[in-house]
Amino acid sequence: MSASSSERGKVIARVGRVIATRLGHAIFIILAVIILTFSLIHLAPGDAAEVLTFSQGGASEEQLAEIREEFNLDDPFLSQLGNYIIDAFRFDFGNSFFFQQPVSDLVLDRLWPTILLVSTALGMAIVGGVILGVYSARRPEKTSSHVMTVLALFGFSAPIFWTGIMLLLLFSSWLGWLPSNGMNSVTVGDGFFEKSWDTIKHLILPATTLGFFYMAQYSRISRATMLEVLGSDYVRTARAKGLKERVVIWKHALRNAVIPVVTIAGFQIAAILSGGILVETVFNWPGMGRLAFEALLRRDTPILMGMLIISAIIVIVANLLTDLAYRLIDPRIRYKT
Amino acid sequence: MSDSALPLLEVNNLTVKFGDFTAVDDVSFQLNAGETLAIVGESGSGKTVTALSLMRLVELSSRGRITSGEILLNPPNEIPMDLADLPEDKLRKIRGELISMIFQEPLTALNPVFSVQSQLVEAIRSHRDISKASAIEMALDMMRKVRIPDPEQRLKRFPHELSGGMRQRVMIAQALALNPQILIADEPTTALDVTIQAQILGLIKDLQEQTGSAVIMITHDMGVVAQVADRVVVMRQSKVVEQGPVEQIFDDPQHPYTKALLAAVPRLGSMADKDAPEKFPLVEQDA
Repeated sequence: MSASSSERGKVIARVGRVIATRLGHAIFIILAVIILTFSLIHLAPGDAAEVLTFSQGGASEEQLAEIREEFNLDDPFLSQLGNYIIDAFRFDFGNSFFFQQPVSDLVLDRLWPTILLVSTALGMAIVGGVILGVYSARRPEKTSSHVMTVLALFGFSAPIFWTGIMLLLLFSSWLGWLPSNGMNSVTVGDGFFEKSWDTIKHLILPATTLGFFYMAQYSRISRATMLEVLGSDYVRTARAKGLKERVVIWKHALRNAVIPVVTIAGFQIAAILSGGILVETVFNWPGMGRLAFEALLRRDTPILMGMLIISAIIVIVANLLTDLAYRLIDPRIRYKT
Repeated sequence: MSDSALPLLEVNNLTVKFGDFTAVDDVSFQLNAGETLAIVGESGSGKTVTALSLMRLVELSSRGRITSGEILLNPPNEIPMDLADLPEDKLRKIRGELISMIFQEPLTALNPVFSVQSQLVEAIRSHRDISKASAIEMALDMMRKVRIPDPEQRLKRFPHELSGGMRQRVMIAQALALNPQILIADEPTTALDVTIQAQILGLIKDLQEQTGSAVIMITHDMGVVAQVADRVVVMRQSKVVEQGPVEQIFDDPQHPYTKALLAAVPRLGSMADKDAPEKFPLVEQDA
């Protein structure tokens, strides 16, 4: 085997070890999430059977007893918890009180729209934030840099729902350029390209609303780290080699400046998912956030529990991807397991 | 075409400012082909800013600006040029090709996220239209010239996997890869331990003899000056206070600051028969 392929083999083995270790940790984290959420919901005052029948105008004692038996609500707490953990690891989160359908089916139906919204918003925030940050750091004294600073301040000061409503008013209501709600128009055909284009048009406003908030933060972080990196010795070396300024900035400086942005984006996945709930509500986007919001109003605990567990899985997977991206960017991390 | 009687580099009345602060004040000196010129002085005297100005890096890296003066480069078989007036795209062709620089801090001078090979190959290919394989061959050859053991393996490593001395060797390999006319070495041994310092100075001297490059050695260490320099420029408070051949500066220093610098070199046995260290003869600020 050649030296370079054995080197590549070692790197792949290291990455494999990292993934295996993180997945091992993930099982314990998911177990902790299940135990905590199950316990908190059961510690909350009120009888689940009464809550379940409340929206239908209440029920007799006999009907309540039947419901308790159907959902094993009279079993001891530890027995209920044990059964729930076993079912959850089989991806069975029970049936929704309201929809009378398996929670896993309901959540999976809404998972794709949420992933589409959150990943688009995050991509816009990272790419847009870094470009603005780099631009601003290269010309820190220029008026355009100060304008960007003010815009960034505005971006993370404005509440997400307000930004969403303002964008709706401007681009949907007044200008009529973009649709105001949902993920697809009722009249759209089944053709792949027609449907995809329709989804993109529906996605622009909610993704911009969610992304703008984080773009503002990432532009500030990129600006600060870029200013530091541009003064570093290795950037001076790159210039002394006679490299074009474009290469110095976008290759030598950026790869170092982007490391903190990736780290912070990884930490913020959970916050972005939470922000998604507000955006999905404002834009009537058929994602997990809206399902969670409606389940909360209806006290549909099986859905809430399932959502929490799946959100935890999304956050764990996103953090794993962040960790791998981090290792890809920075070789000093790559060789640590 | 250049006149071989002219110095390779001629700096005339160079002044560099950072805002209102004058970091280099009316500095003039010359550098001849193949010689080693030492620029000495205390921290903050303007040595490094002078060196960065020669490549016009002071504007890009530290927002300084050359307010007056000339930096005349007279490369063999090429038209003489004033670097102080040259546009950025032409300067880029000179940096790394005709004038190279190595820095004080080898631990931070290489980009931590790129391999040694990637950084060396990039330095070569940014000036030479050659294949990546040929550039790797050239890089490997340079790694051998700077005496890095097991160069094939070291070439694939990242800077954090090499020692300080090894990184400075990589910097030297990168700087000399294209046989520049002038190598500027900005305190190349300050951050290294004593045995490695001697090796690096010896290496620069050997490579200089092989390539015929002129060297501008920036240092505050008169021991280094005595070891490598042909001529010396002494700077203090942004100005040149004295310059001349190394023998003249060591045998017959004229300026009180040069005398103080030479007196500061520790001598073996100088403390014999003395109970306590003697007060160091400080130079007056306006000297």
